[in-house]
Amino acid sequence: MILASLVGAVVYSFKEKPQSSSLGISAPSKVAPLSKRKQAQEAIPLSRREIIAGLPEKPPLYGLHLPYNDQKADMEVYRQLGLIDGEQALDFLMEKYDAGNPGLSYAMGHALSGWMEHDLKGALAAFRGFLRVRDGFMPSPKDHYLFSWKGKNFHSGLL
Amino acid sequence: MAEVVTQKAAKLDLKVARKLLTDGTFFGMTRAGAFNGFVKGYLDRANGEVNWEELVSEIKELAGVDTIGLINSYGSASITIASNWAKEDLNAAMAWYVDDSLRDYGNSFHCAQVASILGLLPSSEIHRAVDWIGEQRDQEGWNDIVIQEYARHMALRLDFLGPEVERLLGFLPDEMTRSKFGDRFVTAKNPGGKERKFTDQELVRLIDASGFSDAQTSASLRKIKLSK
Repeated sequence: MILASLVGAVVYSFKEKPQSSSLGISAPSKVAPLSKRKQAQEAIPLSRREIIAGLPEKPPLYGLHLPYNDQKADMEVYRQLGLIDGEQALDFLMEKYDAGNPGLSYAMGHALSGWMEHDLKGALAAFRGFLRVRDGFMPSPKDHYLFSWKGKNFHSGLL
Repeated sequence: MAEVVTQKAAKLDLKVARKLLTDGTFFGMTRAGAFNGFVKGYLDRANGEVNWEELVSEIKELAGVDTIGLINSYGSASITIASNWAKEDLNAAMAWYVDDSLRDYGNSFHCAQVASILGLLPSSEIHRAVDWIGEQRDQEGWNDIVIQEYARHMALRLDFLGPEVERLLGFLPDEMTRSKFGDRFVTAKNPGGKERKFTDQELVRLIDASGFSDAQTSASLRKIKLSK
């Protein structure tokens, strides 16, 4: 498991950066100014490798009002991933987890919240591209995917 | 996801978050979660200095609803408001949540909503919730389902059974409802769901305080033994 995570971390670190403009999302500004980004990185104690190694095997579902402490720790890992890697963190989570897993949208949400900390405008522009169903109703009973990221649908997670 | 995103947006920039709620981004299921996130972010940002009436008024305006509409259609947001308000002023929070929105204790869902607000008080404040229940149960229309639902929250939150649990038990009028109350604690499991949460000693003390008949005492003790 640890070996797989480390291999994943290395593969992830050297992965080619996707071009958002060619993937059909509203053009978020991908990279925050260097000084701001550097500050954000300096504020967190974990390295990217440690963050990737600390990701849960499956994205957990959270309670509405009272998450357990270990769930809070998971949320923090996803947030930190988004804080460091912004848009790429979301690409990584989509690849790592099964799109049908209801916890994926929570993981994506927390990664996005980290991204928002260094690039609020860009992250929210990307978030608007998430919402797949404009009237709030599913297209058919067999289609329960409410969100989409770069053309790939994923589970609603209900909220 | 919508909740997490609006929470962070409200914490970082209220103006941006308000726009997110009103520019048509959220519909249906995502809209209720987005409003709950906004409330949480507003509270994060306020850092303990909250004007509750102002917050309620703002949420109603953003959602375009009155108090009843807010509580019926934005259930999680209104519970977040009420439960945090209750930590500061339980009576004012419950007056808003219960009286202003015309909660009906004849409706078991409404009872569960009220219990969930009490259940979100910190463990150290449980006596205030029990005091509040003690005052309310003399009011016309009161329903002991609130007590049963609150016991469910207590069983989840408490690390040990203190005197407030016994005081709450004392509000229940008959053996059947007391037995149901006790069962919540007998069957409670630790996070992970394998081991029983409360000790034999704590549970036996609760049974002692229940004033059960001999037959019910034996049945309850048997449940404790079997629940290990």
